Amino acid sequence: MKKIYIKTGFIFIFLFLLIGYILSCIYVNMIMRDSIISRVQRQFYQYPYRVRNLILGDSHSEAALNPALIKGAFNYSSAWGNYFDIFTCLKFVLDHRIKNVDTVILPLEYHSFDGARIAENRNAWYWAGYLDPGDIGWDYKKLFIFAQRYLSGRFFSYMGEKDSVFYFLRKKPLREINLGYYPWWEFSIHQLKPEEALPRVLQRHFKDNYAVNDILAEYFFRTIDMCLKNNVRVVLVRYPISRLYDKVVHQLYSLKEFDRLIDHVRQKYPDIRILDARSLYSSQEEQLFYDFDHLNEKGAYEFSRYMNDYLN
Amino acid sequence: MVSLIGNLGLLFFFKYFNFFNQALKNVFSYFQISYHIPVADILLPVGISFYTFQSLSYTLDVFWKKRKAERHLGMFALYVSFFPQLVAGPIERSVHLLPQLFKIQIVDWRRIKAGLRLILFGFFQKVVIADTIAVMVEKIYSSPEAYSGGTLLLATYFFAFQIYYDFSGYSDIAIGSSKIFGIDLMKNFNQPYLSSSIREFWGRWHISLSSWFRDYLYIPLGGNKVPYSRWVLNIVVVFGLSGFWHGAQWTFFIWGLLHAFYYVVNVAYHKIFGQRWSENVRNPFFLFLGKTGATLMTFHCVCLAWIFFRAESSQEAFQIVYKIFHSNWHEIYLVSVSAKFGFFVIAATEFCHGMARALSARNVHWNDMPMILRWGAYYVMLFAVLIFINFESKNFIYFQF
Repeated sequence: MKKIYIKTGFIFIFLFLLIGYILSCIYVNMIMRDSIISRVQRQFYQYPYRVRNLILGDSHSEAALNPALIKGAFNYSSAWGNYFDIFTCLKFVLDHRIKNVDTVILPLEYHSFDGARIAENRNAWYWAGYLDPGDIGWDYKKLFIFAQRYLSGRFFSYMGEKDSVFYFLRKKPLREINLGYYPWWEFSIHQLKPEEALPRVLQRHFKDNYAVNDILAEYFFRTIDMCLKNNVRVVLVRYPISRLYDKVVHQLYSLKEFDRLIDHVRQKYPDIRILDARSLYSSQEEQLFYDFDHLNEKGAYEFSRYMNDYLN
Repeated sequence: MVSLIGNLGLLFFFKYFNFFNQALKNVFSYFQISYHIPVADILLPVGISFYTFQSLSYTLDVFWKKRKAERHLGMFALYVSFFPQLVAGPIERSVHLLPQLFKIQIVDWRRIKAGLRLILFGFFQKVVIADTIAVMVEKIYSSPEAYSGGTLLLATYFFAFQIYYDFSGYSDIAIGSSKIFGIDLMKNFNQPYLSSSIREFWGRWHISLSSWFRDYLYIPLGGNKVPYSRWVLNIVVVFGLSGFWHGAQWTFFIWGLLHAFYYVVNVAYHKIFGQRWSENVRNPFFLFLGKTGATLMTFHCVCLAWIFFRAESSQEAFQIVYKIFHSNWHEIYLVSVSAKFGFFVIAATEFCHGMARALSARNVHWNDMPMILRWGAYYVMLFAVLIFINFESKNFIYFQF
């Protein structure tokens, strides 16, 4: 009796994973092929020119830098990107000598290191392609993240994506939110004032308390070391944010750990340039910001030109 | 006595102290008398109402000599804090649960399978149905002044199903989890919205709580073996306390009183007309029609009470009721695609429930079904849960009690 149940259990799990994998392939290739992250990935590999400046990061760098305005640049950022994912992706690019990168532009922001980022499983289907099990070792925390990313990326990429599935089934184009943005109007429809909405935005970024996550910090340093080893120049950027965002972050969270991390970076890598652009556009917020912490099209134009001068 | 005072004292302190303190403050300030007891800044321990009632049931069972006092402290602690039902029930009885804890358990694969099946069905109810329709309910009930009567009515129907699937889902997960460990917990729901009377509804909704109140409060108060006026008082006390059990808010109390009113009217109606109806009507079509009408009426009475249960305040609840009866019913606003889908899933699940019931009445059980059908159902539920899961969704509603 026991053997029958174990055998049946194995068959059930095998079929579950098989169906999960098939559904996952369907989801990625039919529904997610229109998402921003997917399109950027296709563009990156089909891009015929050499990429001198590779921009990596999250939605801040995604929104702030227009690669058409920076010489030899490609913006390979994606919303909710964190240093675990950035490292795996960059390692793949450097190991396979794709595009012969000269300079890597990386984010140095509060939420680049917050634990909430690594717990997020967003776009696991995308990151799963870059995971390198050999790099993980036997650290159980990293193994857990690897297993989580791999399983949800390969077998359950549609997890929690009912809206995207509904839109696809109804043959409607994906909404901006499903394509990869988490836009401001999600809050404005709830008729919230900026002061009320911002703590909610920050809760998404930092959850309860701000803390520098060990794994993200480790992968951040490994990313820099890997770049230096491959003779790739590193530029760290603190992207423009609104005054209100900066004020509320400091009011609600203690950022001492982050400040210590920046001091450590400055000491350990004195040659690496850190561009602090947080208050660069604080006098033109109305015109240049999309929301509290993302530049709009005009803002991206201004900042990309600024960045072009800064890099070259 | 010490146990009763201890249990009820803790419950009162954590759950009702601030409520009664505020009420007293209001009374004193009305008479312009100074009142200095401060508001206590305390967090409500999760599931306190559930495990307090479970401990009380043990104390009363021992007092009434239904069972001997338990000498094994570990087993008693396990009985009070048995993890699957610690936070939101079902509220177990010492005579049912404690003897099971002493049993030596052997791995029973059939039980494990049955437990896993229940857990899966519980997750399906919570994730696919309750959380999907919760989006619409929350949006409309958070600003009811902005919506028409039709929309509010629809949101109330949705809430009726949200709370049912949310709580029934939790109960199934709890029952399934303990089944895996070889422990049978009592059934908490039995298709309550198919009840054709309020009396029947309370035999099918949150069975562990309603039977607790029946056994430990209603019957000791004299039950129905007392003069009519005293019986009415008993019903009001039982339902009023049942409302307060859910939380220290007037809305819950009104919810309880409404059910007390329904119950009294229901019993009175049955005494006067009940017999005559079934004796006089022989035509099965008219019998079916009568039963359907009674079921619909019961459902709507329950929904009316749910408005008070769900609303933020009693004023808001009265406003919603007023709007439902006084404004446009044709202006119905559906919040999202998934809300429309909610209708479909509720209908499909209720249909499957009905089918299962009909088959079980004919002695056809789930395990007798062809394997392809059973596994197909499991996979559909599993993948539906995965697609619908929302990691930012709220806890089970009954966790707050």
